[in-house]
Amino acid sequence: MITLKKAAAAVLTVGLMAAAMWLYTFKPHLEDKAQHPLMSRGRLGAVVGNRDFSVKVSRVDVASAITKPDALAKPTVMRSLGIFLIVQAQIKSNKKPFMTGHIRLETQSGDEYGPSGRAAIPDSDNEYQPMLWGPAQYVFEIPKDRLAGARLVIGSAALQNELSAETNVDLGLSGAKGARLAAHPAASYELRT
Amino acid sequence: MFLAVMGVMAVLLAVAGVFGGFRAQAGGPVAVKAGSTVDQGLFHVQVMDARAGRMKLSSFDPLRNLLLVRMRVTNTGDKTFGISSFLDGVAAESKPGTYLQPDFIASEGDIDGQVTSSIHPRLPVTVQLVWPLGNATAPRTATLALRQWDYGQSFTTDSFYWSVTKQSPIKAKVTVPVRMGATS
Repeated sequence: MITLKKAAAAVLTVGLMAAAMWLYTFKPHLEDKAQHPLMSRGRLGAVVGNRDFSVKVSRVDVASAITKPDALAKPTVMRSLGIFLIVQAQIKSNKKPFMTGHIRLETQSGDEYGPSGRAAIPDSDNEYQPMLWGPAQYVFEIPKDRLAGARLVIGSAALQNELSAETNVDLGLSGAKGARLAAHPAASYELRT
Repeated sequence: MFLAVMGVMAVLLAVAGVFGGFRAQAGGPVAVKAGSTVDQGLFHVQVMDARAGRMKLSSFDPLRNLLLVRMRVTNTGDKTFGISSFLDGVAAESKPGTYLQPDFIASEGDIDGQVTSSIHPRLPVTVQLVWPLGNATAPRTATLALRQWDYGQSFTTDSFYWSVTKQSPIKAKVTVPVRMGATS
């Protein structure tokens, strides 16, 4: 009887040790986000702002290719394996000359896509003056199934601190509209130069 | 008593088997042939081909003796990375133990014939890596070391991120035959 008890204890001990080693392979993924910028949220067409700057997204286009006209040669056509999302916005500073930065597209799945990075697509000027609305155009390249529910995040180019501000704009692509645009994007979007 | 000990041993072996057994974990870089996919942690990489010779990368460039390697790269993470970050995880092994970083300026990303500087999550990019050969004769084969990217939490902030350094362990070594000539 005692032998059986010892055997059971030994099995239990080894089992617990193995379980402890298995548990050790799990690492908590905890982020208190204390250093994340303060986020103001809004939606397409509305002014979203904070003390530093304000953003108004006026137009969103979805296309499977982008055409860049060339005055002297044939236009450059850039095709995507996914889709291009072109966002037109107006931005103004609220205090002093302001540089936008950390621009990204947040998808519903939590992924973050930076601007397309295509060499042929010019970056929009990123300095804005107080009380003057200036235009901005951002081009993103994403897989088709990442379009629904995507949001545009704009922050500051300055070094971040605990009181940095960001705006997070719902691009109105949730549900049926996002699904429709992802399934039937425009064949091509022509860049204005 | 003997039977009981044997029984306990049998159970212990079974438990060890359930939790992975006594099989040794594979260590060190794996030798891989060109064309198969290597999982670097953050990127899935498929080495496509290599060519070498005196060539111009663009019409304004001088004629240079170069080694060009093309790779198909897929970002499996949740953030966009620059081509230059990807280059940090790749080196050419010219002779055993000597690792050469690709040229940052000359290497570039390419989607459907158009240049790009970013690798977005789940959108594959063809990356052309360039090594200047100087006066050396072009090798018949090139060996590329693909390093393991590491995912972890920052020491000073609470953010998690992928990183790779020149000290990162090498996940795989890919040997690819080098074709002579400038045309692809």
